[in-house]
Amino acid sequence: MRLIELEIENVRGIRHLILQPQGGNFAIWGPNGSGKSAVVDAVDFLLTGKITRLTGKGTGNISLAKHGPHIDCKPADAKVRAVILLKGNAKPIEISRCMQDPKTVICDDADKALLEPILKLAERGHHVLTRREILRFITSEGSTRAQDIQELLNISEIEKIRKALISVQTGLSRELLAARQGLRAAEGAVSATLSLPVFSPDLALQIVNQHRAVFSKQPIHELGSLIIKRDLQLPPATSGNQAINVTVVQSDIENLRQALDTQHQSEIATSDTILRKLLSDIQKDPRILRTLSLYQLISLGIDLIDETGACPLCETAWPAGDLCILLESRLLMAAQAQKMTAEVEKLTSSISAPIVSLLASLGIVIAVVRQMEMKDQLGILEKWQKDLRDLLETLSSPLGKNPDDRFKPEHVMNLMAPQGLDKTLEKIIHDIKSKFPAATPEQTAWDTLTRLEENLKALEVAQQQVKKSELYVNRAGTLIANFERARNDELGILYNEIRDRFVKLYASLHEEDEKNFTAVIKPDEAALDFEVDFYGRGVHPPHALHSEGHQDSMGLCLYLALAERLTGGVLDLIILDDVVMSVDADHRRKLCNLLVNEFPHRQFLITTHDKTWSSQLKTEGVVKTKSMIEFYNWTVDSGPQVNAEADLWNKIGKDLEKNDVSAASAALRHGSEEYFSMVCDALQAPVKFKLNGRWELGDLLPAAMMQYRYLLKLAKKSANSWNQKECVAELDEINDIASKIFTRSATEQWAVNANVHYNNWASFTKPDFIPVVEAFQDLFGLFRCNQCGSNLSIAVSGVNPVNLRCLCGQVNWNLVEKIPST
Amino acid sequence: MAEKVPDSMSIPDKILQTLFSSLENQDGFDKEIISQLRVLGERNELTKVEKVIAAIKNDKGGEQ
Repeated sequence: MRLIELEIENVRGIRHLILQPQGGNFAIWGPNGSGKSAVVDAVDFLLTGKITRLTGKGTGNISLAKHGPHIDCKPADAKVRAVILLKGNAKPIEISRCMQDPKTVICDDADKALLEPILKLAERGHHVLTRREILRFITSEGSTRAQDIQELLNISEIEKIRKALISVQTGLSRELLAARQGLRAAEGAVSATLSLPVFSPDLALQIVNQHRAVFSKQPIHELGSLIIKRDLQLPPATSGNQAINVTVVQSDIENLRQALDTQHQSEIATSDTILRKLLSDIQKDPRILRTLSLYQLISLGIDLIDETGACPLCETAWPAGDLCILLESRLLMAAQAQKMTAEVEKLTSSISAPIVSLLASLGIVIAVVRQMEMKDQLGILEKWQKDLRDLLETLSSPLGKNPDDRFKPEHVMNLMAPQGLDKTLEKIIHDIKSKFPAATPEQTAWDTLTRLEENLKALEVAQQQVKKSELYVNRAGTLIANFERARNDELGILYNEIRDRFVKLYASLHEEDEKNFTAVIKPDEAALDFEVDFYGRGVHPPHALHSEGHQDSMGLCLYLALAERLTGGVLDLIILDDVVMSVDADHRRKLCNLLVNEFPHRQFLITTHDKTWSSQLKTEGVVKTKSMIEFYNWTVDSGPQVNAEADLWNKIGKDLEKNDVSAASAALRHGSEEYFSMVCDALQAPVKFKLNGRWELGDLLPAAMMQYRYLLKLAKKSANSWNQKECVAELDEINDIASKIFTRSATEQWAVNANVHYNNWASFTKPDFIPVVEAFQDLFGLFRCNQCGSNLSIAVSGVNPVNLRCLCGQVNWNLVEKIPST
Repeated sequence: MAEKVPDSMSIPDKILQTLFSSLENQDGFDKEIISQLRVLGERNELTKVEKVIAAIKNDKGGEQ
């Protein structure tokens, strides 16, 4: 997209303004507060429906509706209209936006689809670079920079996907954890039913076959809910109420008595002590868990290191073998971390397995006690059940938690065997035996196998669930590992390309003092490290050692390196809003060359308060004379006064038509001062120095003319020395023309004839002033090429001028004499 | 040297394309799951956790 014409009405400090960049570069210069940034705001508003400067931190009480329009205007009066040219379209289109309805771009329906990609890019802020943005790239933290640059590169979506995939993995891991807990509970239930201290399929099978033997049935060879009761028949019911099988309940109560076993308690206490120490060690060193999470990446990294020894991710050079050694040491730490977490899992399992088994039997006994309405015992057992469940939940994810916060060591032991448990269980077994007769061996075997049948069904479902969950977690792990690998590969390439381009651009600005400049741009997890070489003394953050001017150069180069990755061909417009305030004049000149040579297909809209930079923009060919305007004398009522050389002669003509010689003379003087300050700069004319930097036409024009004559003399001497007769004749002709123009403009008489001095132009009559204007038009033309329109400028070698030329080469004076042969 | 023209495929698209290709050789990922993930990628829905989990839990693959 290129800007052909821009019309601004009542936006910020501008009342009404029409600019005509005609698709080329355009520059506005003027003092602070002259309304330059209002033009930037207007373009920003046109493309995005907002003014970036009015958003963000510290702008809480500022709104577009209230502060976007000119101070005396309503939103309905604030409009921006542009004629733009889209790539591939020969015909320009017109678009506009009004602050009354900022979200709506007004254009032909047929153009809306064409505009969409441009508006999307603009929404990400690609089109404006301010000094604030530069500082954002240079001085921000790695994570903020990554976010900003990813936003700019439109790759923030990648980080969002990565985060989502991590959430997927976390969610599925949580499901796996729950599934494993369910499996342990199911195993505990089996163990409780068969009075096994820990779950063992072989022992369980043996007990099943013992019960089957009661019915004189063949043993089975595997444990399964569908086969444990194969060929068995329900035994005849014994007398009395057999809803409670005394033998079975007694078995559950015996299970609960296990908690009172001192050896069992000692084992739990030992596991608990070791576990607490291990968790404390892990929590003291956060690197352990972090390294663990990077285990896969580090393993892969080692595999990918080639014979150069460079980092396979960012291509940073490492002495051969060093990176491998570092990664192997981290891998060792990760392996150690893996060992520690495996030990944690083993210890928690050794504590939680008996708890799960206790809970299974406890559930059965509680049901019996409730049925027998033994309220005191019920209360004791229910509290025990709740405490055990809480402990189990704490043990389910021990990493990152301090177990002391919820369970002190002595509390754990009390939970495993609460005080008075022995008497409570004695009372329960006594009451059951007194109320219910003993069951027959067949009935007990049948009841046990029936209960086991349900336990095994639950166990089989739990096993299946764990198997599935493990598969899902593995898939999620593979998904994120492959995603990160793909991301690292692609972003590695992208960031390396951006780094190379950035280094090339920056080096071209600072080739004289930073010849071997290098930079590092590399992603570090969610952050983006950006460090630059400091005169061969290693890489450092850009704002650590470099001057502000260098930082500005870096920010600008990084922005340009990023921008060309993104917007080429879609949004060619780049607005540089006063971005070189800390860059010195010499480097600004180089920046001009960089913009011209490296970005010929871009349209730059440049604002500056610096007159020298504005002159350089013209002399170095970034903007044409007609595309440079000056803002001055801004007032709240009228906005900025605009001075454009292209309009200078029109304005003077109109003033003279109105017989307003005073206005015409003021315009000529102002325009001439502007023009000849640029000429003096380009020709390196010796202007009398003024500390206040306010040079008047009386200072500039004589210096420019004197330098012109001097250069002409040098050129002629040179041409004579090379025996270039045609050239000498041409220079003689130019000299004649110049003399005539100088005479017509009366400038050479200023010192001797006060009546023709520019200070008195305002008192001239119209017939007297018209020849002056015509002479000045010719005078202006003397200092520029009549073919390309660029101003003539000299090249120097040391302090000696060697050449005077225009940008196209039509004017090309050799100023160096031939050295006579000896 | 003048500036480069950006590649036609966006970086996120390139990453996803590489990702899906790499999954084709991974154990535990059948064509159905990869196809579902591709659809999510095309719809910019890989950021939707529940949808990605649903694709990963594809029953056909889960039973394999």
